[in-house]
Amino acid sequence: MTTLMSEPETQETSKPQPADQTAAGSTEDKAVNDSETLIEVKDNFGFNYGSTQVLFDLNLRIPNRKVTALIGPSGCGKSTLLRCFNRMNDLIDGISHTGDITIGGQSIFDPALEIISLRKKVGMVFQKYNPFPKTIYENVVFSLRVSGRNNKALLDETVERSLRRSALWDEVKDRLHESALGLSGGQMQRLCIARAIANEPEVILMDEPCSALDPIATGKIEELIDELKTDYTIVIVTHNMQQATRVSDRTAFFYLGKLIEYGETTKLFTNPQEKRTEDYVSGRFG
Amino acid sequence: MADTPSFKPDPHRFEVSKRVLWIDRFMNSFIKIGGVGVIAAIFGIFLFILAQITPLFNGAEVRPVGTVEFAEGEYAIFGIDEWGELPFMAGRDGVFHFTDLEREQTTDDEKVARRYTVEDGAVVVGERGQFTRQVFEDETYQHVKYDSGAKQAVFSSARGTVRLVKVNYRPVFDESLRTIEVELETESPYQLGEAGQAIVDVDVLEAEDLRVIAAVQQNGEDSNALNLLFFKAGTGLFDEGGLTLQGSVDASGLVENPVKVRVNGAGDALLVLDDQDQLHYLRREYDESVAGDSGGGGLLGGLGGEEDSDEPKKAPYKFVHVQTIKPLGDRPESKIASIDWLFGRASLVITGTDGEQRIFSSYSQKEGGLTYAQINEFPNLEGGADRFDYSRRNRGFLITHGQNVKLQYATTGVTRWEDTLEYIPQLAGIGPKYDLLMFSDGTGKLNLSYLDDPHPEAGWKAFFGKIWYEGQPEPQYTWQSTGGESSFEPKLSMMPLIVGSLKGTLYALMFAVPIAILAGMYSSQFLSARWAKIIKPTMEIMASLPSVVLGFLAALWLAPILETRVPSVVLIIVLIPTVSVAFGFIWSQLPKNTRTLVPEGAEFWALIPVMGLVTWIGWELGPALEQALFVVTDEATGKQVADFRLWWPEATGTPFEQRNSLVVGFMMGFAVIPIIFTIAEDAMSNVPIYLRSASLALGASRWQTAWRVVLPTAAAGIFAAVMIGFGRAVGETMIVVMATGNTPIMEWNIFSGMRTLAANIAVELPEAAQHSTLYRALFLGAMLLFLLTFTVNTIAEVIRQHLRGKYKAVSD
Repeated sequence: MTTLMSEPETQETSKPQPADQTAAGSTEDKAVNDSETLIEVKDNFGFNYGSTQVLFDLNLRIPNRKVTALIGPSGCGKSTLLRCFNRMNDLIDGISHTGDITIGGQSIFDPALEIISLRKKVGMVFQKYNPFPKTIYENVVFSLRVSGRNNKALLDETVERSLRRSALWDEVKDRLHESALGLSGGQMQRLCIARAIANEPEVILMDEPCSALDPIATGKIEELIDELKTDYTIVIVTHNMQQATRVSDRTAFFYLGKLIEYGETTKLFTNPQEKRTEDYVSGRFG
Repeated sequence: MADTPSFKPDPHRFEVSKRVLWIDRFMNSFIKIGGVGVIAAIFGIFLFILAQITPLFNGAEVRPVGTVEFAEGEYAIFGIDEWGELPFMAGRDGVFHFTDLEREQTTDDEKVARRYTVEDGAVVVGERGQFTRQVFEDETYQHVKYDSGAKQAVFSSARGTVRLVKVNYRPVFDESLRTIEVELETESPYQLGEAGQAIVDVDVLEAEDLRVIAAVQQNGEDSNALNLLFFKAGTGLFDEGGLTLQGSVDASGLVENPVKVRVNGAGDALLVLDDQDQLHYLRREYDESVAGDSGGGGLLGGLGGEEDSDEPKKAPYKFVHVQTIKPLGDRPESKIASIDWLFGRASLVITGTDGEQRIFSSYSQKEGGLTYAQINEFPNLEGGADRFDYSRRNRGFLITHGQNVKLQYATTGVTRWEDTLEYIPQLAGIGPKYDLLMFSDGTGKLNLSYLDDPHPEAGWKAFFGKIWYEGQPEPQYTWQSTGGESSFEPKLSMMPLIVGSLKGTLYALMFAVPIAILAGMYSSQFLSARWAKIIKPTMEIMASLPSVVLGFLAALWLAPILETRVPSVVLIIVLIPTVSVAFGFIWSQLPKNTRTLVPEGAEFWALIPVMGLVTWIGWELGPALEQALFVVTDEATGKQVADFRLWWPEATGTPFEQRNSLVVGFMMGFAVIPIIFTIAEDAMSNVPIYLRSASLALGASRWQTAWRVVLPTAAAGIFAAVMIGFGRAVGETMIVVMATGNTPIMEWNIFSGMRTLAANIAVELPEAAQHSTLYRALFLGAMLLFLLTFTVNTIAEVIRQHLRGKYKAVSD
């Protein structure tokens, strides 16, 4: 089996140089044209933690109102890239980047851009559900409160809409003013999604949102993602191949900080252009 | 590889070595013993302190000793020496009967005490047996009374004469054997008023440099006369000391029909009771109209210049009526039965025929002069008081009605001991050292009882209640453990100390808590990690600064600076927060491009110069503010001066002191800030990063994150930090001892000092003799300190657990 696999690998590595260059180009013309693009990673985007470079020469376009999955083995930089989109990496000392990322045509590294307004535009759901130690209600309206919107009617309406949207309303409507910490894991994660969409962002970033959940809760979240993509652009990092195939429209495969392959999910999983992609999606390494 | 086949596992590999088991067992019990030992030690300390303070709340213990049989006769007075070995009884005939008693030094309950030898209920008579002394012959006296304080018997006659007999006891040592010698000293009888005016009542003040004999006499008219004799110490060059007659004063006419008279301890006031049950306070004044030896002894005053003449000399005094009191005005049914001085002759015990016992004392009025008022009252006896004696150590007194005997403590209003005797005591007295009680049926039987009452002035009321002490205008909480004179009564209220402790703590925390918590928040939430790594250990080093150094700095450096610069300090305290907020606002209005010049977490570089500037401006503007606002008229010169130190007392009526609570607040704050900072910083740093991330990702600013997410989540830890700071501040001693005046006052004025429980222990320690009341009162202070911190810590822990439950993050 290994010998069998080693053959195509050498075959593939015969054209890595052109592939790396054309991969982005080829995916670009394949699907995401300018009008569809919401997030664009361009100018050979690179990212460093101190002197360690973790992302190399990235160029990719993420389409509007689609689910884009970022996959790859641990440490490949997919989460780092995700956290670049709302500049959560800024919390870490000594980071630097090259190239640029635009959202809706505007560079997120523009010195004149308020990071707070960027983060209001780009919501995020974390790997580990992290509701605040407050009531369910206060969790959902947190983003409104920090924006200074305290109108009771608006808040009430937002809570119901967001919780309905995240399929949690029926389960919690009678205990909105109880602590969020009394919910189950899956409910908490859906609450975090409700919290993220309360302020109507354009993009929702999801960093392995189901890794701490059981299969049933995971299923619910996946359904939710499917519904949410009608209104939001979703970028999801996942370790779970099946999840990527189930929820995403497009998939990007990263390996050692480089974008190896990017394209329609079905295509990437059924007919990968790259040997490493094929190895990874078929579970030979990861 | 070759070894592999021959490898055999060690058959003993599952065994545990004895050594491991032994060490495990040893450490197990060692830790257990250690832990239990620590708890036992704390509990032991607690019990020890408790054992030290319980005697403070006990009553007196009285144990009958035995009877001394004197020769049968009618006795009117009795007394005993300080050592309790040579009691006497005497009648109006001037014959003093002494009985020598055996008394041996014994050790009982680790206390050295002298005990009588008793056989069959009778005290064994010593070697010298019984003997008598006679002081006069061929004189008859109607009354005799004995002042146990002055050890002086006063015989008064129907002729208007008074004879004083002093019972002089003194110890004589003969080869370590001590015997008590007694000598009776009497002076020729003094004539008061005119011959033949019978003495109704007499009071003699006997002091070192003064003697006043005051007598109410019948003069055959409607109203009794009031006559006084003054004696003074010779101040002339050739005087041998002792008292010489200065002259007489006739104070009749000021009070209509006086029946009783009492002279106060300074000899400058008479308390006169009239037949209408009114008490009159007469004040002595200098009378210039009296010619002759007016000044009372120039240099040669005693140089034989005073020739005896038949005309009695006049003393240069007159009396002025100041006040009329109706001690039993609210009890029309009751008549005044007796008035007697307590120790020190400052307080009167007035009893009524219905058994009232009221204490009256004088105090200075604001407008000058003394006034007398009732300071305490006891529950009624069943009837009027029959016998009275006062303690010569404290404000206790013994009072009897019929067979009923009570030992009262005037200051606290507490009955220390009471009993019903089998006979009606005709004589009752307290031993000179407040260690004996003596009763006699008047026929020659003297019954002795040991009195064990080491802390009569203590008790719940003394420590925690308002008490009207002699010389004070109203009931107060007072701590004043020692005084200049022997008749001083210790005032041991804990309240000023508790208030002082809380006051110092409050001001320290007011200064420390905002700074420490905000600093902790800044360092954990805003400051870049690089700087936080430097700041935190630095603050921790600050905590290790010895408090004696801080106290020293506070007293010798900070206090004098702050004294003259209060307006500057006020200005700085106002300016720093307002300018900080204003600066933050302006900063937020700057274009993003400008702000990015300063990296996130290093904004303090921009703020520090501004703060420095503001501090400097505040400091320099202070005197100008003083000129503008704190102007006051200097009483000495009548000029307008700008001085906050003078303005504050005038504006608020509270004093301004250099060593004040502001200084303590600052310095104690310095001691407390690092502790609160470190713990609060830890609490906020330990708020899970995912909560901060969640907040930031939702578009909250760093401040919103810190305020809305970090602070509530870390609330339990921050609260604990404040409570630990509180505990430190309450127990802090050196700073308070050095930086305040240690005045035990009860006020919250920021510009006056305080005395804390802890400082009190440190300050009074050298004064406290073992097992004395003060010694135990200091232990009580320690116990209160312990209880204070214990209570606060317990409440804090309950609140902390509640907060922790409320704001706990998702468990990992």
